[in-house]
Amino acid sequence: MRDWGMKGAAVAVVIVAAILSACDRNDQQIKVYRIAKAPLESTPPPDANMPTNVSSPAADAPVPPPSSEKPQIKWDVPPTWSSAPASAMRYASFASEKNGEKADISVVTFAGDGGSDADNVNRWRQQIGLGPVDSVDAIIVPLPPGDLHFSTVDIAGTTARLLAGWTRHEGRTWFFKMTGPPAIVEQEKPKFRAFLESVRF
Amino acid sequence: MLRKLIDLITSLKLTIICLAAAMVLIFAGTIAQVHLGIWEAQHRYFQSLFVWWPPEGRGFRIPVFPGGHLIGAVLLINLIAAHAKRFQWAWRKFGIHLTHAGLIIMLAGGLFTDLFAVESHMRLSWGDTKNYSEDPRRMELAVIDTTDAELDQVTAIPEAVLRQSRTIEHKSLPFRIVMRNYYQNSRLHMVNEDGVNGRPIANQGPGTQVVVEPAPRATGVNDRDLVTAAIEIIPKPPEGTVERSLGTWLVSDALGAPQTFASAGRTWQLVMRPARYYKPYSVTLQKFTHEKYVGTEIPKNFASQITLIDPERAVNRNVLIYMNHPLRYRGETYYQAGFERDDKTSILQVVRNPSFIAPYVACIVVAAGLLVQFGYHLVGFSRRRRTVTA
Repeated sequence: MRDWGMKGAAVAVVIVAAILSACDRNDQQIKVYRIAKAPLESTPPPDANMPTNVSSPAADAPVPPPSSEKPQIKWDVPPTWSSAPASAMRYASFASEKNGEKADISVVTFAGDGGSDADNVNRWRQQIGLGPVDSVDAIIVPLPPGDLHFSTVDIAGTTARLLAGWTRHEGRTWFFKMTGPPAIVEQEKPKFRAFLESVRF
Repeated sequence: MLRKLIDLITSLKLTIICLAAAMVLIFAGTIAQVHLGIWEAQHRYFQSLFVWWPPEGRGFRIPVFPGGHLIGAVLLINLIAAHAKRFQWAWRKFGIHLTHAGLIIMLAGGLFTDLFAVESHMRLSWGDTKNYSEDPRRMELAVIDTTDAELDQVTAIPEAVLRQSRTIEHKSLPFRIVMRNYYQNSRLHMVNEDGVNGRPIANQGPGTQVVVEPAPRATGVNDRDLVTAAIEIIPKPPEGTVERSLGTWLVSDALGAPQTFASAGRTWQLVMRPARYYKPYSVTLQKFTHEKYVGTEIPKNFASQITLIDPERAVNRNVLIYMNHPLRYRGETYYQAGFERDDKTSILQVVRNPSFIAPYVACIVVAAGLLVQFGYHLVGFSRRRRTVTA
């Protein structure tokens, strides 16, 4: 009887050990699959090389603060814009699509003053293939009225156009930016302006 | 020799040692959460075969203590083997057999949950439709062949593979991916930002304007690492020709837009993103409501009104998911987990746990075993008492 018990125990050990050793999480392996093109993924931004969300100046904390510490900001999103996934450096993302063209709208915030206006504007110019300018004062347009004072620029390249507005509030700088092919950016410009005007804290 | 081994594996001493080791491990793992955070402590202490020292790095490491998986597995083997060795069928022992079977189911269920359960999030804004959920704590490098007009072919390389590999080759890719740098957590700075030292690693894409600063691992419950890597793409050359690099790209979750390049006559995208789990159905968020107690900011209820569409099963229905009322569908459970952005975005936790039923079954079997065993003794006792009284 004892021999049967020993054999049974040995068989049990072998079977259980074999099952356990075969266990492996399959999410540690390379997976290949085919998937229908998603609307947000199939149409890359106008210039795929454009660093859409590093276009705003980096600062001490590129990762947005946790939701409990998020700054209180509100805005009215134009109904034709759709929300897009936010990334680590983006506070919010939107997209506007018309006639197969897509404009990308980003909201990024950083602690501090967010760098000099000249650096920021020249970086944005560089992103759409334009060279830097010595003085950016002439192309920065203030956006009154309202409690918030926005600075805005409208930079047009040959294949892409960029609208940006930024404001500084309670130790943070907020950048709002729209990029896309010139035609759709031209169409969306009034909505972008209304979007900026709707921002409140 | 074999007899000695079996005696060891089936011994009660081994059970006691395992239980003692589990207590030490739980204590050490709980203390370690102070510095490591809950996720990393779980990974190092409980979801591993051994606790290693030093804990990270590709160099020499030694195991300093058995990890949760090893202790659980040995305990499971010990319990089953001891049961197999000493098993004797008798009604008077039926309750004990049942109780042990329940314990085995509980241990095995716990281990399988740890090994096979997948938790992810589905983040939906009003009107959004998604057919995938994302793991916010595990990244993947998606290399996407976008050439086809209808379908994308995705080669998803998990973070663990990126971390451990120097070169990645796969039959779906006509090129090698050489890992030049890997940062488990990082901060990205623009190259011309004031006070930024260092030079970009990448020579292609937006990474040419970005300097990467290594950062310590994120330890907070709500924090997560910003995984960044510099990868070089080297096409596999035809025989007899020399390899030519296409350049080095920076890939990071902070670089939102995919980066594109061409190789072998096809168009490819590179994107570092949270690991995705695609589903054969889609979920659309129709409405999210966040009720508060009147006059306060204290949450009363969160609810997501969703539409579930599954073409394979001809399902098209509205479902209300709210606290303690999850949606269970195709082996996955959707819980209302959170919200953000002015109550316009709902976060659903998606849990796939093939062994979620195990604890319920185990408790029922153990309870039945104890009832049978105590009942058997109670009946026997009352019979003897009646005999003595008579």
